[in-house]
Amino acid sequence: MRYDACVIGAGADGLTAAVALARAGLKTIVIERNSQVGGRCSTREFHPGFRASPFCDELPSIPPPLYWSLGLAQRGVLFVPAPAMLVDRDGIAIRLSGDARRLLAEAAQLRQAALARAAAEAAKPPARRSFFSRPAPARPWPGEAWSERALSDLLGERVADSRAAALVSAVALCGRAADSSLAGSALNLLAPAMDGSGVPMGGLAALAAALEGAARGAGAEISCGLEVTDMRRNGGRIAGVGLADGTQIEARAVVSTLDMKRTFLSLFQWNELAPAVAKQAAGFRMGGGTARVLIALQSPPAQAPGPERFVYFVSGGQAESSAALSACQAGTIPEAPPAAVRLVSAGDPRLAPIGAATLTVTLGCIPFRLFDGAWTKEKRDVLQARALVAADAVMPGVGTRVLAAQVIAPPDFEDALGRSEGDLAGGDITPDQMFAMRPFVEPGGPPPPRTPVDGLYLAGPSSAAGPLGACVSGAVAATAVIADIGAGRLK
Amino acid sequence: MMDVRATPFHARTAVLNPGNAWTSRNGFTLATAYGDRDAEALAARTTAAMADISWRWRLRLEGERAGEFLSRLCTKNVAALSPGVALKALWLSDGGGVRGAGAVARLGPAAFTLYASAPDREWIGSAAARVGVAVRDVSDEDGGIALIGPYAAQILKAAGLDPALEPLSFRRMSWRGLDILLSRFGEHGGYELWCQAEEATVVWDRMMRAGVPFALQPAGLAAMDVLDLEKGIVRPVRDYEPARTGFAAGPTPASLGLERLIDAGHMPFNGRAAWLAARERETQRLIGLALESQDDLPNAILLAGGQAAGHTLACGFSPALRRTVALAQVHAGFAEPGTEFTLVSPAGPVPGRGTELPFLPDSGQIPP
Repeated sequence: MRYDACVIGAGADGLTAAVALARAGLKTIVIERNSQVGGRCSTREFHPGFRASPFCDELPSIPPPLYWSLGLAQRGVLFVPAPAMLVDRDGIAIRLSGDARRLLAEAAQLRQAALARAAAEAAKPPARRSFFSRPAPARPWPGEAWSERALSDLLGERVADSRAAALVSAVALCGRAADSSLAGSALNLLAPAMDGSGVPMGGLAALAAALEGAARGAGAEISCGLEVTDMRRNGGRIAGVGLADGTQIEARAVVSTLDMKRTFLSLFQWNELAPAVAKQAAGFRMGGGTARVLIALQSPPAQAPGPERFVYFVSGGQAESSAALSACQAGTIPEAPPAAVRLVSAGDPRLAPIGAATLTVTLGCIPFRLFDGAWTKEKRDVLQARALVAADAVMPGVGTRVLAAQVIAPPDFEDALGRSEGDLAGGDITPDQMFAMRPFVEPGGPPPPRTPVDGLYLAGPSSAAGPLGACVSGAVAATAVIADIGAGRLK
Repeated sequence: MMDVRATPFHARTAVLNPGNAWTSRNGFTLATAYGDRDAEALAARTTAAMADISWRWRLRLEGERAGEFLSRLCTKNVAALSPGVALKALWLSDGGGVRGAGAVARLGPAAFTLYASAPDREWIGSAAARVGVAVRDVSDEDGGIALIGPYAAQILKAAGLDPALEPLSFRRMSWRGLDILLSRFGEHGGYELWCQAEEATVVWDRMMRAGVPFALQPAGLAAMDVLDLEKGIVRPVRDYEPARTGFAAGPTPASLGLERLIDAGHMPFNGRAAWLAARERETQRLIGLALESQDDLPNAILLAGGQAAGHTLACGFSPALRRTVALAQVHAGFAEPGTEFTLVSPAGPVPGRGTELPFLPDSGQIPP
């Protein structure tokens, strides 16, 4: 089987890449390990009649031009914004202040500029390097000024109300284990875990279904239940992929939406990569720290501090955040992890039986590895209890309405999604791992999303554009493939 | 001084409108938005939204010759309607210009109601009087709410009403002591409930209560305008000046995208000959336009390939499409979807691309 392009992974990024590649007239195939498309964009029934998106409720924004060109609204994907509120442990709630909104708007503008730069670099086929060529000095990326700033310092300067600042921090770091006092942590504002883009009706699976329809409509093939096990090379250049069942797929270009570590450390033999490349891949740091608890409620909570469809961030202040981070770094479950509580069925009745409700709690600072062993049922019960405490702070008495709950611990993200160490952001959001540093620091080397391996492109969370928005890294990778094929670089 | 009056639902809409944002339409004061316009418009596509539509003009026509008169007035055969059914049609000036557009419902053998966005009382009234048809403006006698969205039928069921009703039909019924009329005349695939003015707040409360499990949201006029824009619906006064002088030849039905409301085989309607004659020469088309702009740019000049191509009508941000979109009247040569336009705005040229209408289909059914 011979294709122009093979995309590994049928998540939002992979399917977006497939749409763009197929629309450009390239013969494209998408290979997905799971039996269904979607990756983290899945929605499941976790208790009879109760549905939720197990890995996250919402994604970072899809840039409006990409949303339009994919025809997502016409395919029924409509995002309903869920405004954020901060609730302290005493149940006192606060919304974003004007200065906090302005800061988030500035972050959104910087994000757009960064994406525009990623797309522009992808569209330029890299010049062939000669012995005499010297790399041009890299211009700073938009937003790089924040690379040296601590999130807490930036918020202290720009947001007058400390609780509004805490809300901005909670939104940016939702489900992460990051220290907001470290230099460079302000980058989390540019690559936030969520940015208020909203929840698609029907859950994230609706987005996956629409993208699948768009990809198939454009002519791409999608094969589920097949796992890519190795990269095939010819003269140092990518020639295709090998599958677990022994099938070989020839392709001029391969777009991997797997993360950095999984792409380079599991799909290549140790001696196939240049030592420097293997070393960088091995040294790429994953973040993670996310756990989720899906809760079926027999009836909606009696009270909430604001509209039920909001997302409520529970935080007990800086001391509590620091304690949670320390616990995570020590491999223990924090006493009071930062939490985002969302009554998902309040805005989308499809997710619970009429008269009942579905609640999700996203916990941050949850270690991937526990110091005292595996994630046993007892440990998961502890997580569930922590989640219910957080939910109770927002919606008092909610614990008495629980019918069933499902805990998704950090290793579950790795098992189900193949995300190394359960990291949905595809790597630590730090200055040495952002923008042009993803995937590789190689001055004068091929600009992202190209990799040091000719014909291999990185999309997905570990790529330059990956943490900046949903679907965009797929579009950027497709742009690079199309440009390189057009320039005759991929025979 | 302009006469502005409250609708029968004002006691409820005022409580829900803490921002005190009001808009006047057809002499009624209506909530512009109850909170977030975009969230209200999205609710109509994702769950359910309820809007006060009491501002719509309603004219009752009664008499032996009412059906015959309306068939002469309208661009479809109203006389052929069965009781309980409605149709949508235009009425034209003698010169073939669009005077109005609306729905005509047959209440009984000799009784009809005309529903429209803008009143045209004097002209229709004087013409009806000549053939012995009695007309009465009933816009103040009852109130109406629209229930739109994929959960509209389920909310009706939860409220104790049978939602089984074909589009363009209606049913009178008694609803736990209230006499109401349930109809499906709207442009957005939902339902309308019409009730006596004095019973309006009870109807509002019952529906809001029934809608709680379905995330029902009240929607203001601004959200309804967004839905109209996304559907490609032109509105008199905002988008066009109705042909109120007898021999006005414009605006033509084709230039407003309204030819679907004309039955060319319906022989005797007013303005038919002029419409047929002008049809051959028609050069204007209504298209959709997707703009690369954050600003609303209505009534702006459009260029295509350096030539004047037309102008925009209504324009606004669509939260469902996440884009500023506009209706535009362009020369037929530029009506092909995908045509690139440049919009002339005070802030500089704005690129846009022609698209088919509607921008989005109706909210549809609840996914499994």
